[in-house]
Amino acid sequence: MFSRATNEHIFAAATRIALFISVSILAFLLGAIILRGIQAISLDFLFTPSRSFGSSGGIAYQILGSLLIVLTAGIIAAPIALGASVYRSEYMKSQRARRVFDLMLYGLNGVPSIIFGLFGLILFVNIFGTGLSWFVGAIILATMMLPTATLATVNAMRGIDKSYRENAFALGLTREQTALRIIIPQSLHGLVTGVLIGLARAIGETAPIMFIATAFSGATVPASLHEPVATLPTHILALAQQAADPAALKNAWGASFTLIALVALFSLAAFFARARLTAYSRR
Amino acid sequence: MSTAQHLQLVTDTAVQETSVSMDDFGVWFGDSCIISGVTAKLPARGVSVLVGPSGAGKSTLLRAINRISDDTAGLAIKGSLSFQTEDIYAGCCDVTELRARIGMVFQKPCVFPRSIAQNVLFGLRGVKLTQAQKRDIVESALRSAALWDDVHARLGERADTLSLGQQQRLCIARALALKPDMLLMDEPTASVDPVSARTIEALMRDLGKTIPVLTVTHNLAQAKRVADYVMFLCDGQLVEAGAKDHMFSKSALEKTQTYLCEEFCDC
Amino acid sequence: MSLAAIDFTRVAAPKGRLMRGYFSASAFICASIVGLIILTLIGQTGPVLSGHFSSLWGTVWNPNTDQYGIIPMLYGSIIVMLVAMAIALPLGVLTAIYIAETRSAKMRGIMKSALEVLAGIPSIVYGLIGVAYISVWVAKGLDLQTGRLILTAGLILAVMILPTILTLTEDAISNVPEIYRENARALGLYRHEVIKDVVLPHAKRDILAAALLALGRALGETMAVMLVIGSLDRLPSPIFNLLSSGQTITSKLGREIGESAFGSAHFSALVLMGLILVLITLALTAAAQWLIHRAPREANHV
Ligand SMILES: Nc1ncnc2c1ncn2[C@@H]1O[C@H](COP(=O)(O)OP(=O)(O)OP(=O)(O)O)[C@@H](O)[C@H]1O
Ligand SMILES: [Mg+2]
Repeated sequence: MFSRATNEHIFAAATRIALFISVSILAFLLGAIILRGIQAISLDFLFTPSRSFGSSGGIAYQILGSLLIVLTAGIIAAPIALGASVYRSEYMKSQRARRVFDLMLYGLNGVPSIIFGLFGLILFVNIFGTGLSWFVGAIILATMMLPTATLATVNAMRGIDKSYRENAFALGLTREQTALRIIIPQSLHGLVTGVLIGLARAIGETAPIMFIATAFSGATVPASLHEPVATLPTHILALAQQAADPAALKNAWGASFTLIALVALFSLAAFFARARLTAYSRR
Repeated sequence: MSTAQHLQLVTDTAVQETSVSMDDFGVWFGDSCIISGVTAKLPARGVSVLVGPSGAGKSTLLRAINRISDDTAGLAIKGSLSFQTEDIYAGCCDVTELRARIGMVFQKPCVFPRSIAQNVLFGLRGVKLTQAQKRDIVESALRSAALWDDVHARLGERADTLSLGQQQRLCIARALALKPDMLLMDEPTASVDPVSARTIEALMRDLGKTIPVLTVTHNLAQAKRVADYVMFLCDGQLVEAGAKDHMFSKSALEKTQTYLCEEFCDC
Repeated sequence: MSLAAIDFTRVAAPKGRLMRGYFSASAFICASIVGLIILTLIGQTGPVLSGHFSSLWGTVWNPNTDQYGIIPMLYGSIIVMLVAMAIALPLGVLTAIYIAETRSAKMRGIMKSALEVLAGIPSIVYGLIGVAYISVWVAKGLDLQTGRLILTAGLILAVMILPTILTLTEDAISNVPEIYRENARALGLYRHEVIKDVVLPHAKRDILAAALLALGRALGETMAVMLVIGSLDRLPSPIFNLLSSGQTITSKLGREIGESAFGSAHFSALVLMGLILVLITLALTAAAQWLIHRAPREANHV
């Protein structure tokens, strides 16, 4: 063995090297995505439909489809998350019930995304016979967003001072009225933030929707709930599989950059929502 | 502060060697000056007590002596501080070795979640010891910390099962196991009960016979009980330092009198 | 207007009951989806369990001959995960130690936001990076025909779980109270000794939970793995040959769900693999939660 002082130097060197490697990886990832993305992207690219299986043309319908599917998912998930978190924090009395509830949510959060795809394929597409449908995709993404949105709202409700509840009860408000007038308005920032973070994650998901809601080419604006759409992640998947073709690869980078920009947009919105609405509900 | 006052401490101790000597010593955190212009010499044996109002910089000064605050952002040192003739803020000083030589006990006892014996041996690194030697070290350290009788039957038990007062003595034993050349204590009795506090006070007196002990306290009665020498720090300045009798009754400075004498009479 | 004219009767009860129904229904939905998913999957495993049970534990996957050996996929999932963990765990923990122990608030802030950005990158983009760079580098560097190997999948997964491990471990290390470090330092311990003997033991439970979470992510990751693993339904030979193509449960599902007929034995074998995957990840989640929420340490010595 080495002396203590030598060990100290070895250790210091090891952590430095680890830091260097980690930072290089970070820098490489960000650099590659940004550089390759910027080379591929243009206004034209964003606003024209794709042609010849995506290797030429743009990604207009993919952007549209992605936004449609996740925003719908958000609209489905938000009320359920809200109701569930009210129930969790205002009606569940026992610590044990809460732990079980939380565990279910964490469990749901940990379910691999491909399993959601499989679940949707079996239950909706086959058993309910919906066929490929963007709306089913939205429902599945909504279930994936539920844990994030619910836990964020529960957290906000946990932050509400106990005296509000006591005062409301003392004034003779029922539990429901208390929830409606005091708890929900004061925890809306949690819901909005949670849903936005959920959206940021959902928009990048490929596996849950690729069998149930999307078509790899030719999909435009859906006319009904029962039609597939094109989305950015599945588009990138299709292009990545033709990576030998430089034109396809270039468009894949462009689509990736756009997708990450959308993720960043939702994340930033979540960040500001937290800041703004927290201040608002504290008033 | 005039030169005369700190000379006083030196003459009072009729200087044998000194343990710590500070020369125009100062500590800054970023832009704020916490301690400035402290010039003093601590005797090589005996208990020195550092007193002063809250925020005076007592802890800061104490922590500068074993360089435990080194990693604090923005720390800057002015002047010089020597321990046994070695300037510890000079480049060549080995900080780890310095800390092993200067034991330190904090306000809150903090034992590691291991057995009592392992806690005592925690700082002994880089020396090969036989089981018998380890047992001897544990015993003698616990004995000098007046803890042996309480715990000798349960050395293998986890240290966090001890009472707070016992934990604090375990912290002292842990420091003593390294056979330190000096012991620093930052309000060591602040979070323990009066009985344990008395035990720790007696311990300080004992230790002071062989090594220099520098302790911080807000309890002036305690200071009076344990001190050989007293240093009075206020607003980062050393107001006065001297033998206990001088400081508590004969000080010519009004500031010292107000803090040490009148305040003391109040309580 | 006199008070007598005001109707003081409370708002009608039915509205309250409606609200209550809405709250409890939402909670029920949230709590029951996991169960619903599991039941739905179990419901589809019939054909393969009744008809081809014995072939499941074999190493041959060939739907044409009704052989559905899932061992190669199980093995692939595990080996890829092990490769990823073997790279990402030491790298993440050492980096986290550096960041947490240098105590530079600025560096910490920069690192944390960079990691947040990385954690937000969709897995399909990692797949693209795997296809466009990593598999190409591996093929060139090792002079192989193809770069779509178990090793490549492990590498890209390592990169993907690094942010998770790094952030959570860094939090765990930063959460160790400073007083422990200070006491250890005051005893003359070197920095590495403080970390090894005080900080890591204190944070080990949270680090373990982080590792379990990362493990779950690695097992469940589909898109990136699917694009770079080469999709070969055989055990590598020799068995630890990382330079062979392979298949994980997720990549198998991603590739073949679309091609199998609903209700067939083929489909049902795929669902069975999915079910195994869900059960493993649920167990991991439960274990991680248990570690995090276990009764706090004795408060008495803090
Ligand atoms: N890390 C730091 N950064 C900036 N200022 C600090 C830091 N640590 C301490 N200070 C400041 O230094 C001053 C002296 O603090 P110190 O802890 O030394 O006082 P003290 O005399 O020990 O007080 P007490 O008796 O309450 O323990 C205080 O004003 C404190 O705010
Ligand atoms: Mg202090």
